[in-house]
Amino acid sequence: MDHQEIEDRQVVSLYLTKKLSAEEQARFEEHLLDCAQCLDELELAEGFRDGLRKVAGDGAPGVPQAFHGPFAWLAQMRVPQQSALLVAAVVLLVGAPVLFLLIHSARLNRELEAERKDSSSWREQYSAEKQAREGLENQLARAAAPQFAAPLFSVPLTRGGDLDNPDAGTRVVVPRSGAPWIVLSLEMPPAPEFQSYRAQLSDASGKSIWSTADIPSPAAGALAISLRSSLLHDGKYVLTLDGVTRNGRSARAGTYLLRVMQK
Amino acid sequence: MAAITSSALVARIVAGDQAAEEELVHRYSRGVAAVLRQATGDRCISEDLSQDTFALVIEKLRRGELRDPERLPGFICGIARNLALSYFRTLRRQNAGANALAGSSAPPEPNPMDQVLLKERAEIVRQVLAELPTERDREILFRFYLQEEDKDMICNELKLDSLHFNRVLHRARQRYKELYQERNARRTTLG
Repeated sequence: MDHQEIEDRQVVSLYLTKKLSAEEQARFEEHLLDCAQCLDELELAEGFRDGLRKVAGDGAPGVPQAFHGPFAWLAQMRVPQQSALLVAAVVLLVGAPVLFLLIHSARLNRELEAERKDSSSWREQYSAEKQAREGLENQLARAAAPQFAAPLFSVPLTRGGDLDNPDAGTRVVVPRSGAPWIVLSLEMPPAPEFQSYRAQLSDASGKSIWSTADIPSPAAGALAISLRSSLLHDGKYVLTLDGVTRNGRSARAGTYLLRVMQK
Repeated sequence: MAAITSSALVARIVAGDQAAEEELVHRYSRGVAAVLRQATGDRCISEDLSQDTFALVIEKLRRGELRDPERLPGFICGIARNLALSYFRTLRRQNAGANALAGSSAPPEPNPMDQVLLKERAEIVRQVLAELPTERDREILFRFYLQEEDKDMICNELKLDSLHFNRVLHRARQRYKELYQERNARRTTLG
């Protein structure tokens, strides 16, 4: 690097203000070490710069307007430092609201997720309760439906003379398969003194094969008795009905003859 | 001692000539100080590092680490810059204060002697600024030397050409130099 180039390009000032490239700086410094003239020039330029810095710091007359006032410190900063400060200010101005929005958004997302979970839990609960209700409705429907269908036989009272008649008695046809029950509708004589009835079924030999008590007095003139079909086989049966008064005394209310045939 | 070439100086240092070592320091101390002031932005630190630079240069020369003695100035500059870099690395590790960073716009408080010199320079600069014909010319100086803006940027924004820019800088420095030398001359006369 020669003096002509140094003077033409004002290399000393460029060196002082760090405007030279790394290579130019190295070349100039190598020249500087051996050049008193350039050293004098550099030291004068340093003195001038330091004096200028002091004048700007003192806010003396002659200092440009930008270097006065509360923001003089900003004007005195080097451009890279000003740029860095500007970038920092922009990042803060833009970043702070963005950061706030991100945090707020994250919080809202968390709340939304919690609400979703809560909602999912309610849906599950509702679904379970719906299933339980449907189950109960089904049970109710089954309970309301007829439990079974059974043959009904109207059985009149047997008069005393019929007891000795081998052909007397109500014909009861019991199916071998299908209906597990039969229903006997017994003719009832009016007997207001009886509060309840006892019933007993005996076979031809007089053996009791079935009985029941505490049958409430029917409102209409018939009493329905349901019997298991399996109790009855081919043959004759006698069903006796005893009424029970309020004070616990009983009396024969009726006798019914049955001729059972299995089919 | 008559001025000797770099090659001869190096050869004598390698041979253990202490006078040659002193000559080395005398010849290059101003330059090394300038390089270190530029690297550190601090006069005190640059003075300390300057001593370290010469100690290391002499040690390396004795070991024969300079292959081309004609490159002696470049060799010395390289060592000075590396020492400045090492200094700041150490400083960062030790988590020293912000004023230790190179290029800081706020140099540390100068010693009393430096403060007097600085005050004197400021007075000269005020006079230089007062003599400038326009506010714009003053702004050129502030923006170039203090804010270290690019010449092209200043010219574009202030609507002036390169010639005018160079002229303002040159005249300001020349006037500063004249006034500075006048003061030195007055001081010498009075002293």
